[in-house]
Amino acid sequence: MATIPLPLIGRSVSSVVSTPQISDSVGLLSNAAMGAQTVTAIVYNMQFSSRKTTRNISALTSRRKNAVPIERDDTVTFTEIMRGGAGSVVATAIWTASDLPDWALFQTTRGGTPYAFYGLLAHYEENVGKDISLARLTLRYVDTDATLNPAYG
Amino acid sequence: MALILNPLLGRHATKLWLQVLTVNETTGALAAAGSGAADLAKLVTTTGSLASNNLAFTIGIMDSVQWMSDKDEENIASAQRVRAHHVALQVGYTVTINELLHAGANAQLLANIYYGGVSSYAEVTWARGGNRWIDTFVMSSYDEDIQRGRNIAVLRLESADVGGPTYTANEQ
Repeated sequence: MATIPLPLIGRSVSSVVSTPQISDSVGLLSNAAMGAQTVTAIVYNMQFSSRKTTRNISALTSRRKNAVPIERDDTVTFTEIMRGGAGSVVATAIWTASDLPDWALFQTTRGGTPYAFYGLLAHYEENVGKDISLARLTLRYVDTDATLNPAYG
Repeated sequence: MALILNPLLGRHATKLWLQVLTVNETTGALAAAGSGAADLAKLVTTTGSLASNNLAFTIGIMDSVQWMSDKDEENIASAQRVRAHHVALQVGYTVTINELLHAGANAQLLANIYYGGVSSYAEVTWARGGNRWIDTFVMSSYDEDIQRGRNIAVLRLESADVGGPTYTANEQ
């Protein structure tokens, strides 16, 4: 039997779920009233971006730069294909939920590997045009302390 | 016999390994973290199989590698001179690695080490055309943009000062 390479393409994304989160008085996150929102079938694209702030810390006598990681900052953006019908745009529903969830747990499995990210619901935008109309949510990094963020693999 | 131009092509890449390093927070000593999926990413291998984590990418997953170096410099010239005089202060290296993403659990090698690695430090070994770079870096950013077709992961690394890099001719 032959073996062929299996590139990760859009169809390799098997699950995309966004669960809005609310916080109690001590910062413990829990699911908002609307619960987990599965958007697998309406995701247009996803972007994962991670940045570490580095500082060049080296003695004045050194000829070489020495990058030192200082702080990590990730961003997740997912874009949804908007559909007609009352309440059918999930990103909008998350953004405008009545219990005002400021955070979301974004979970996806692409290429067989799971990824889970707690983020601040920082930005919403929609672009409605003649043909395709897209809604986009941007999640910014939050410090979950001992809980790995994102959890990967 | 005649000689022909022998351009360096992508297929002349023979090794691209990223070994995650443990960091002794007291002494700063670095050491190889291991050979698990979160410790070692072999984007190009001369052996054709990756026994360490049972991933076999014999067809390769490297999309491209950009190995850059720049020097901080300052123009230090006296007032009466009419020519610039640039003086090198420090040299730094930046490496950008693009991985052609493949399906399969934990088959995304750069993501494995970026998200799962025990530290931000990695030693990169990059051999192409019979010559090899080795240096230690901080994994400073990671990007994925998942869309319908071809998907690429981008890992950017900045040099840490361990006295490197080493560049060796006739090494694979």
